[in-house]
Amino acid sequence: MTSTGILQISLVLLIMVLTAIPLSRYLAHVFKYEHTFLDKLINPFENLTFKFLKVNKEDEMTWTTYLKIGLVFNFLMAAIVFLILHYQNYLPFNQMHYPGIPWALDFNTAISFITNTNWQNYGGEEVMSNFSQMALVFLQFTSAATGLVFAVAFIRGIIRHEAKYVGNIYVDFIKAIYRIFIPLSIIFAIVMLSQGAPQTFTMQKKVTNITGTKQTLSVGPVASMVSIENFGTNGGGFYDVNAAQPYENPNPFTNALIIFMMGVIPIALFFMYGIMIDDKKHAWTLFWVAATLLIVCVAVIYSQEAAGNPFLAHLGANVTAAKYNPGGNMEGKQEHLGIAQTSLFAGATTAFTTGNVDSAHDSFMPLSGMILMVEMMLNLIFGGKGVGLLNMLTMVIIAVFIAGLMVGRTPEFLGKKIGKKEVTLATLAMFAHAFIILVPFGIAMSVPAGLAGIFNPGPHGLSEVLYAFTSTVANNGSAFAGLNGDTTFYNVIFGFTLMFGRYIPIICQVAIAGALIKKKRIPESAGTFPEHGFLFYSVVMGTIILIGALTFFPALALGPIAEHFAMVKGHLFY
Amino acid sequence: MAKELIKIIKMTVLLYLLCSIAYTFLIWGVGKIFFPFQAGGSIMYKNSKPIGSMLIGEKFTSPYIFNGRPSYAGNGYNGTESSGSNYAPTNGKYIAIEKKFIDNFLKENPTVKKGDVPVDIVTGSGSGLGPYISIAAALDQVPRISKLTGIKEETLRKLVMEHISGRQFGIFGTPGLNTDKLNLMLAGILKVKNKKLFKKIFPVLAD
Repeated sequence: MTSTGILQISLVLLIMVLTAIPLSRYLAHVFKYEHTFLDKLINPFENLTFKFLKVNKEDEMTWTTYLKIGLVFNFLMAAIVFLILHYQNYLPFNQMHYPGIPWALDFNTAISFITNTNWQNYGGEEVMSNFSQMALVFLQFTSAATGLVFAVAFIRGIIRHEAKYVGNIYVDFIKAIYRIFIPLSIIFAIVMLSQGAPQTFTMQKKVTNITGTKQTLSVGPVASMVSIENFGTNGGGFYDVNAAQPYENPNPFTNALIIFMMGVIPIALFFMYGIMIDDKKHAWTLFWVAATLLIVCVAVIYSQEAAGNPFLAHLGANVTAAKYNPGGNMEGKQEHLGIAQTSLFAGATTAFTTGNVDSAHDSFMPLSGMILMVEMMLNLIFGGKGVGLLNMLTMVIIAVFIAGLMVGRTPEFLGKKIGKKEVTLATLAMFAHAFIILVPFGIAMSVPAGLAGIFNPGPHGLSEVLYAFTSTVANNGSAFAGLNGDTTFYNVIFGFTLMFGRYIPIICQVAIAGALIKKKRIPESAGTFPEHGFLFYSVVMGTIILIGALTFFPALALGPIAEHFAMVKGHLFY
Repeated sequence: MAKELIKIIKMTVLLYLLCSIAYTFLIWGVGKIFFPFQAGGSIMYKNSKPIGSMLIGEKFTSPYIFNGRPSYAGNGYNGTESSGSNYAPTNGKYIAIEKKFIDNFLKENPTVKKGDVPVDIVTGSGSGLGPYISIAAALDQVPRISKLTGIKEETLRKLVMEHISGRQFGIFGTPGLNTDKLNLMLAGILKVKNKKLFKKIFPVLAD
């Protein structure tokens, strides 16, 4: 670890938080349907859209209608993209004559993108036509908006009392797309373009380098994808290796910019929540819970990666950072991005459940690889669009329930009594997450089709499979990419873990909102448990660590922890 | 629900046209007008022939020039098959490959001592397409290139130090050398110094 490295990490995080504060005010205005500075520009388009859709802005929906429409809408969008990919050979922008995507891979990919995961069992530049890549961009916008509007519905469940309606999903959805994702994506796509991300409909260019070696370069509409890929915390890149491909991430500045794009909205959503419920102290406490976890995780990753691989040091490589030699574990990392930024990128992409990578996570040191998995297992370190906040609030409900049991009072959450129904649903959401990771993981590890995909030997092979299930269920999308997931077995099983991992928690959470919204608000009394400050912070943090550690520790012990101790002992696997 | 279904279908079509088609074309138009060079992939031309992109690493294996990092993109620096090695740090096969890389680097550059091989020059980048190497990795190759080309070590060292891509805005990233750029500069020196060798190593620049 170097001081410049620590400075780089701190600076990017600081800028992210400082931008998130004003952005959160804007987001709150958008979802409270208040005046914003973009009204003049966007109102005409928005009104025209509502007229076209025949949507009345005043019509509000119950949580069940809101949820149903959202799910049907998601299904339809996934189906359309499935067809586009499957028949891409009949569609434009396919100069390389790539064949249609086979059904198993297509099934996996369509679900992967509609669930905001962007797990990729394919290398984009090797199988996708530019038209197909553009269709995936469509899902990158809408899947991000889906998570966001459900989070907004949940917040309305908290702030409204003795009510029935959680909002109008069409209005929320169009507002999310028109007022948040499109403007931000356009601005930052242009910045990425100026830095070197291509934007063309050509697919390949042939060059001959100065020594006479021929090289073919893959290009396409990259810049437009990179911005929404990160603002939407999608993470599915144009290229096989995402942001490790220089076209997708040309220089260290764009690398920092991508980290910024991934994190700024998820952080702003915590603050937006504070504004909407009118309790900023509560939101700031939750912010610190997530921020503490993020800082600790990034610190562990950075220290592990900077220390480097002891086996290479033994062979004669210099892994110690010096003036001209950056050192560290450079396998799978871009030299100019450096260890510090790569570590932050990896920590951020798993915290914000983006899944975009700028390095090969499979080649990370055992303990940093473990931290990446832990971040996705918790899935609430700010998290993906909307769902990170939802997961954090679900955890808070469980935390106040436990705290209530300890002092023998009916638990309360922001002035509402938490009953059996809410606790059951919250527990179900948490339990489903762990169950859908661990059970299919166990199945994959015990059948030949599951074991066949493993690339690295020893405990690291187990980590590859564990990482894959964690990533698909957490809707992250990053991978220990040695694992060959493009088999019928993995395409199908991941298709289901992606789907259940996304929608079961969301259904539970929107149902909690439906239950909360009917409740009376009870005034604060002397016995009310404060929902901010250090005590509350500790209760939430304790719950997260207990639930997270107890559930996943055994699986982690078999994979990365075993690998780490073997490495310390100088043991290699064949 | 039938009424809602029509709304859902209309919204799907509308957002598809907007987010997939209109948005991509808008950015394409901006690229066409304001950033045509970047939009096309930052491709450099010499004698009106495309010689590569300055962003993408090229395969430089000749001992006469600065070599890049090992690449796992296809058969090495294949621009259509970006890939890292994905080897785990404890994979025995990986360590065996690394032993070969390190021993080979030591053999080619006998001035470098065992234990001093810059780790980046013997490991693959995340995409297999990174053009950058560390300053140490470039300096370590100077004596070899000097011996083979007859260019003074001092001149080469100066070349390296003058072409360092530093930290952006003084803070972001790690200083290093873009081998695409560095070898292009090396070609410039060799052209004056040894025309015959220049033609042999850089045939594309010669005609």
